[in-house]
Amino acid sequence: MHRAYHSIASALSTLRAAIAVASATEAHRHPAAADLRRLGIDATKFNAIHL
Amino acid sequence: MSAFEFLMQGLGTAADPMMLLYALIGVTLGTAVGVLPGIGPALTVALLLPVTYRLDPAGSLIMFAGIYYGGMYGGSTTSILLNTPGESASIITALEGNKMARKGRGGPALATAAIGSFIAGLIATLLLAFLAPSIVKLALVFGPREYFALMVLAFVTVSAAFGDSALRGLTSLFLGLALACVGIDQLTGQARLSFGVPELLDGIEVTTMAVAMFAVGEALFIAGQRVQVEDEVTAVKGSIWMNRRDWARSWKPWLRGTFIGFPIGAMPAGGAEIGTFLSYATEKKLTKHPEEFGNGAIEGVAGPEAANNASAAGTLVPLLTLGLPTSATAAIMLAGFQQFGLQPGPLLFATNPTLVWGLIASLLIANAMLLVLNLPLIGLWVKLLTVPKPWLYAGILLFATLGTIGANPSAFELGMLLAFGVLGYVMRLFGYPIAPIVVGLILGPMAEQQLRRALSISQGDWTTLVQSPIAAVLLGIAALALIVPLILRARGKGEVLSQLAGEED
Amino acid sequence: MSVNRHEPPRRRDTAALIIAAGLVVIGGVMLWDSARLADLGGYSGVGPASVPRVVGFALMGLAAWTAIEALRGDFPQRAPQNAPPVLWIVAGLAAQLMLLHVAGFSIATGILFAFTARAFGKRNLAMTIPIGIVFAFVVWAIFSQLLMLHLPAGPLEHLIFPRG
Repeated sequence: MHRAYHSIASALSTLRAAIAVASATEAHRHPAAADLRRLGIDATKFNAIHL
Repeated sequence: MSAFEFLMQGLGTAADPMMLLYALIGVTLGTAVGVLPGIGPALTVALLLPVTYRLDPAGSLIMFAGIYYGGMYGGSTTSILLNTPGESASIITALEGNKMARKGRGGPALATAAIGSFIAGLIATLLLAFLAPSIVKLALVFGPREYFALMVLAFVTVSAAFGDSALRGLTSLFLGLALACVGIDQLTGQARLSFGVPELLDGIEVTTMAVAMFAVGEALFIAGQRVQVEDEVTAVKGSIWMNRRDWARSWKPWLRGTFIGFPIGAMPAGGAEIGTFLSYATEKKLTKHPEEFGNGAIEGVAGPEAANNASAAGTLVPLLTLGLPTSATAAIMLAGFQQFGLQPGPLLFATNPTLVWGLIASLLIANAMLLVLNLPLIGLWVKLLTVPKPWLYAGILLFATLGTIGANPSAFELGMLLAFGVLGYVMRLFGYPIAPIVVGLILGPMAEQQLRRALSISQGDWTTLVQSPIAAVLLGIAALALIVPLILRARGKGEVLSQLAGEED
Repeated sequence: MSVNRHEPPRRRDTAALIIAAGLVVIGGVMLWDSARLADLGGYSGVGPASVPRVVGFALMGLAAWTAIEALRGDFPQRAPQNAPPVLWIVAGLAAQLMLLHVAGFSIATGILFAFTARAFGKRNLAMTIPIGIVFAFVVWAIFSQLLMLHLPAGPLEHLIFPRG
């Protein structure tokens, strides 16, 4: 039960991070480092992309 | 008839030479705008709306859908070769794709992107074809209150639920709804918010607004940026073909990307880019080569590129079956349907099956065209990247104003274009999302009409809105989608951060 | 009014306060306009004025929320902007708007083209204006003569296509 709750929470927070990063990049802003980490993206490498 | 028979019939429509030509123009334009940074499919379709006014409806819609699919293909090229995503849905592709290109593996990166896009487009379009009839069946029982609830849900998810600020999302949405009120009221014929100006009686043109927001606002914002990056094209060296190992590492990410992207596209949450980030996160977790991630892992190109094409098809599910746009591009395509007096939704499947199934079938054909257009002809598209920025943006604004003038050659309309362009610039500057204002302007009048119909059926009894189980559930989800993120944000960002750090194991 | 519990206060965001004021004005205009409409609600009690009224009140509420976030300094950092290029593009659009019916599509749009190019770094207007006019004229010819789009003609267009 607890495990199931945990994996759902983790999936939801990944989804939330993906949406946050998407909306930041849409507006040409640098997304929050925590969101990027959640998605397994290296923030320094991500910021090298010309948005 | 089954979905399969309808699809076969649709293929018959789509194989008409004229339709093939429209599809070819669409995918070519789409690839071009995908390659060019600064213009996306939403803007391109908006620019074409006035031009296609006198053309064939089915052909124009096939062309618009081709642009949407093509944009997803083309965006990867700039990401890989230039580290500058041509499309927001291809941002993540730059992460691994550009690293691959710098190592001389640009060819396989482009190939896995194109083939992955093809496979995802194929599967997702078939999913669209086989899911649509059942959703249509469900939607046929929808009355005004269910539609109103559905639109409220779309408003909330597009504006407040997932963006980084509920305040700015809602502000953008309500500005759109305010603009939607301008003009003659559909039910009573009274002039609203027109201040005696005759040009305002017809309401705010969706195309003028969309072109201003996406073309003028974006050009102003890019021009105003202090740091101008100089782009440098990485030449494609070595073989462009994938070797056996590339194939072995690509096929699973393609399939996973497809099944991540498709539902995300159908969800009213924003654009195709969300699925790409999720696909990347998934591939990184599942990979057997974690050391390569960040240094050119082919899975990081294959998955996201499949996801963004599957998203494009997923977006069409609610658009065609319910008339509900879930992204800016879908909202503009809805405006495209309305321009020809067509209202997408369950009724369109019944009244005009030739058009709907022809459109779906032509997507399969467009997808095959795109594979041919993108793999062997990649060199041609790379040439497009060398258009210097001043000419590119000057051209964009030329065509943006051409569309507006073509629809209505008046100084007033151009003044609106300028005013909304400046509004779009200010909104970008202060971090307001653009999609909610466009969705608000397009869906606002429809939501109002459904609400007023529902209430006149119930003779003014507001509880009617929650007396139908479907409407009640939809409104409940909308309320949760509005409130839960607000509480989560209010509970303090520090707590969330530490929690996230703790989960990283 | 102000409670000084959170001292020192974070930077107050004047620009965001102006946005809040703008939202108040828009909301006020909507309420004022809806008050003037005859509310033919009929059976439903919901007429043409109802939705504008709701939107107007919502904008007022959002204005208050914006003001609170502005006072707390919660708005995101803005990238510093270069004003001149932005103004060049705005000037180009304004020039096109004013010249469109006097000088015709090609000349008006050519000036927009050149001003935009200047905003992105092509500074030599003596070169870019002619290029823009020629390009805009080609576009005019294609769209008005082949695709039958109604684009205003001026002296240049009449010179080359005398019958318009």
